[in-house]
Formats: sequence, structure tokens, C-alpha cells
Amino acid sequence: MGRYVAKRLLSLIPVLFGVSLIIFFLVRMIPGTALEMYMGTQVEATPEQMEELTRLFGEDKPVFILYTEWLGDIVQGDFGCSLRTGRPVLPDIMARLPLSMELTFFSLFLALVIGVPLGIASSLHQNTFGDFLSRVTGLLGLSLPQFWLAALMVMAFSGFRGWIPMGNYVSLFEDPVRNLKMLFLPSLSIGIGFAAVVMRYTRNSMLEVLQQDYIRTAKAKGLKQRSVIYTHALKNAILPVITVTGFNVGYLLGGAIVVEEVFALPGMGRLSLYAIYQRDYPIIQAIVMIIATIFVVVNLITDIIYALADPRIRLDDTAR
Amino acid sequence: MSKEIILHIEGLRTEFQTERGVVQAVNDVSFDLHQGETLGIVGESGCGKSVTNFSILKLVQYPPGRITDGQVLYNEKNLLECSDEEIRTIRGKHIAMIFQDPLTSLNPVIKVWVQIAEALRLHQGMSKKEAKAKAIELLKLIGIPDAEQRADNYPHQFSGGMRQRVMIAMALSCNPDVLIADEPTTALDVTIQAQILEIIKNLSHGRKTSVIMITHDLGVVAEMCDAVCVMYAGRIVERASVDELFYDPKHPYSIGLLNSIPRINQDSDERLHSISGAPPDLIDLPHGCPFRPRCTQAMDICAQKSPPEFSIGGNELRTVACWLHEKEHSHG
Repeated sequence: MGRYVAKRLLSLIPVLFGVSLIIFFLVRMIPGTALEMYMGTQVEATPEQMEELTRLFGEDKPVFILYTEWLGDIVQGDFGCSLRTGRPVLPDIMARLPLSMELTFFSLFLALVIGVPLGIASSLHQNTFGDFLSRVTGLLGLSLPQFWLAALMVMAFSGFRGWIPMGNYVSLFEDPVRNLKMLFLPSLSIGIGFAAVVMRYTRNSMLEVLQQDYIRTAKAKGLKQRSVIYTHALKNAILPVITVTGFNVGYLLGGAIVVEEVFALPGMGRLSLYAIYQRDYPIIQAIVMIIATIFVVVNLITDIIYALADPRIRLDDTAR
Repeated sequence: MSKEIILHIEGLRTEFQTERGVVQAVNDVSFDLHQGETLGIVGESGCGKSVTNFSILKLVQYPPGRITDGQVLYNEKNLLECSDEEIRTIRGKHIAMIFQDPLTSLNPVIKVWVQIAEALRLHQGMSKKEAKAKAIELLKLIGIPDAEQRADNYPHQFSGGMRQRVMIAMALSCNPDVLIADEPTTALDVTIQAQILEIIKNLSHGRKTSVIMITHDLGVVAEMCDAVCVMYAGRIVERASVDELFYDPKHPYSIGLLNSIPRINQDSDERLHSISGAPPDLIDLPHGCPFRPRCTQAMDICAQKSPPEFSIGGNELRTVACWLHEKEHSHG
């Protein structure tokens, strides 16, 4: 297991290298440089001042040189400073990362808590009205855009001030109850689409597993319906759900970034949005690198969980 | 053969709803299983042998399957009328099953001892620790080496023969009165088949367990069984003791089956005998005797009326459902 994890973590290096290349050149392809955005259209500057600013914004060097310099810096853990504030970008991002991560995992949690039981119930009552209803609702949840749901929820629930606090954000460590209450609606709007995915996967997987011979064996032993379903069927049926969950954490994180804006939450979403508006390259680059790392690590964790849930999978090839 | 009847099946009918129509998988099947007896049920694939036995424990999946008629009497109780709750106390405890493919019949993500221990904990109220000890003991009994270590393994870590041994251990864990073995050796190598049959034989005799052995292999019947029912198209067409079936088969289908076994003293250039034609469509059974289209001795009456079971020589354990034997019945 240790060897496997080490190998997978080593694979982060080429992934991050590729991501760094793409993002570095991609952000510079957006029309308008950081300096132009800074100057706007109203400000006049002398040629000397312009030269000084060009140097400050790093626009006096060829882009390849800039890239190698930046790469050299991030290898040493230095993500550079914001072109706007001049502050180092890493502390700013790290201050906002926990909120985005919390949103992501809260929405993941809600998706699983809603999706798995509904999927099981739907499979057990196949082709009944309840099954039909939850499938149609699931399709609806899948089709509604997250930002629209989020906006709708803000409008619908902003009246219930006492119940769901809006406004000033408090962190999980300051006031957990208020924090979770605040993040409930944003997480729900992110997670509901994925809940539909989980529900459909669980349902289909359960339907397939319930046809298997070992389910008949379990029944032939005289086990209660509950043990047959939760001990024998679910343990097998949950495997594809684990895989699809791993793939989707990245998308949930992307959803978090959009929905933060709607709920005015100070997470990475607003930071990256403003960074893009202002062409604050170092911030954008750092955020993308961090998200790529999270994505790879989450997938690694998924694979480990999968291997723990399915004894037929061996992560180490040393045992072969 | 005047032993006590342990399982009495009468007029059993099971059908499956399909898009093409209703499949009559089991059509008026009756038989008795006696104390300590091994009863073979033989027939081609799709003749209803397995469905008959799934019906006994109400393990036919509904939908599409449905038991429409008949009774299964065990201890004077009709199992088909039992509630789900009641039938669960019979399954695994009094009547246990072994299935054909031990790889797909064992849960791939649960350790083998846990799978064996489940029935023990449920039916005998053992603690987890007691059940594990008993499971290891059973694994030793069926000849799994290093049982203590192997108990913690998963099914995929066992060979096919070992997996079937685990299935047997599981089925016999609660000392059932009846063991239903559904083609227990079909998925196994020939060398392993003999070992598995030996284990079933020894353990069931030792525990006075009655066995229903479902098979399409007449070799297994000769090796294991006391009595045989031959099934065709969802019906029992002949019942006999093993000796009677092998030395004096009555039904043309049974005769065909026996002739199709290759013999060691057969000339190598002699063609193997086979029954011409294919089994009938169970949705659209031919009128009269279902075997008629393949029968070399078919008569006019065969197309008109389905033959009842005629007993031969007044022996109710020796019957044949064929018009050719109507006279023996009336004269006997």
C-alpha cells in the first residue's frame, strides 16, 4: 500500500508540470494584460512611468523566461505576489481554501446522504410510483444548473433570517452550528445535482446486484431482508458509487466556486473570479495548481477506499 | 422403501411472465423425499429442475416468477403458504441449498467465515466468537487446509473446488433435515467432482440428512442417488429407483438419455446416440405429450391427450408418464 501511494504521489509531478504549462500560457491568452487592466482607460502616464510599470508587472521579458522563472519559484514553494496588492498569494489563498473545501465536502456529504438511500429505496420498489417519482425528481435535479438553484434558494430563503443565517460568514471553528447552517443551502444547491447522479448509480447498481446468485444464497440461508440488502447487496452495489464520487469531487469544487459568488461567501471562488477580471496571473496560476493537486489526491483517496471496500482489488503489484 | 416422508411436494406449478408470454417452467410436479434418502432429479437444461427446487423454499424471484399452485409439506406445514417470516426460519436451518456455480454464489466482498457464520448466528443464536470457531471447525471438516488462516480469506482466493466445499460447509452448518444440491459439480473439474460428491455423501449420511440432487449428469445419479425423477418440459416423466432406471428405463425420453451416454466398450467409429430435435418451447407447449415431436414411438393418442403418470406393477414409486405403458398400469 505504501509503495502504491508513493508511486501515485510521484505521478503528481508530471501532472502538475502539464497543468502549469497549460494554465500559464492560457491565462496570458485572455485579451488584455494585467497592466492594461490596471491602467484602465482614464489614467495617463509618462513613457518613463510606463516603462517602470511594465517592469513591475513583468511584461518586459519574453513569456518563456517568465514561465521558467515562475516554475523555479513554485518548486521552492514560492507562488509569487499578487500583481494588484503586492501581497504573497499563498497566504491569501490558504485563508479561503478551507471554506471552499468545506463547501465541497458538505455538498458531497449531502449528495451521498440523499442519493444512496433514495437509490436503494428506488431499486427495491422498482417500477412503482415512488420509483418513478424519485427518478423524475433525480432527472430534474440533474438538469438544473447549480447557480440557478443557488440564486433561487437565496431568494426563497433569505426571508427566514432566523433559521438560515445569511450575511457575515463565520468559520467552522468559530461557531460550528452557525457555520453549518450558513453553508447548508449553498451545499445543497451544489450537491443536489450530484445527489441525482448518486441516486441513479445506486439504483442501477442495486438492481444488478439483487439479481446475483449470492443474493439468492443469502436468502437461502434464511437471512432477513434487511441483512440481505444492507450486508450482502449494498456492499457490492456501493462500489461503482465510490468510483463516480471520486471523479465528481473536482466538479463539486468547481460548483463551489460558482455558488460562493451567489451566496457572497468569501471562498476561493470570489478570489479567482476577481483574479481573472484583473488578470492577476500569479493568483490564478496558484489556484489552478492547488485545485489540480486536490483533484489528484482525492482520486488517490478514492482508489484506496475502493480497494478497502473490494477485497478483489490489490493496489500493490508486488503481491502478484 | 417405507421410510418416513420428510418432504411432500404435490401439484407444484411455477410460471414466469415474459414478454413473449407465460413460461410454464414447472407443470404439476409431485414427489416425496424420504428420510435419509438421496433423490436425483435429472433432465436437460431448462426442463424445470432448478425452478422446482427454488419453489420449495419460495426462492423464485417475483416478478417475473410465480408459484401458481401446489403444496410443499414439511413437518405437516405447507411452505408455500408460510409468511416470509416463517419461511426464513426454515431456510438454511431445516432445508439448505448448494448452488451450481460456487464463484457467483458466494459474496465476493465478505470473508468466508462470516458467510458461514451468518446462518449459525441467526438460527442457533451463537455469539460472533462461537460462530467463528464453529465455521473454522466446519472448514476443517470439509478438508480446507490451514482453516484458521483461510477463514479470513475472500471467495476469490479459493479454487473452484474449495469454494464449493465452503458452500457445503455453509449449507450443512445448521444440520438441516434436507439438503438441496443444484448441480453442485457442474462448474467443477472432473477430478474435483468426485471429491465434492464424496463430501456431500459422507456428510449427509453422517447427519441423516435427506438430499435432493439436481443434475443433468447420469453419472452423478448412479454414484449418489437412491431414487430418481426424470423431468422433461416442466413435468416428471418417469420415477424409479436408480437400478430400475439404469436397467429398465420405461419412458422413451429416459431411454434416449441413457443411450446418449458414451460407453467405454463402444466401437470408436460408431456414432454417439442423440435424441433428435430440441426441447419444446415452454410458452407454446405441443398439444398432448410434450415429448411427442421427438419421440420415435409416438402414437395417435400422444397428440391428443397428455399422458398421466402410470404406475408400473402397482408400485407408486415406479411411474411413467407415457401412453405406451398404459396397459402395464391397468394390468398391474
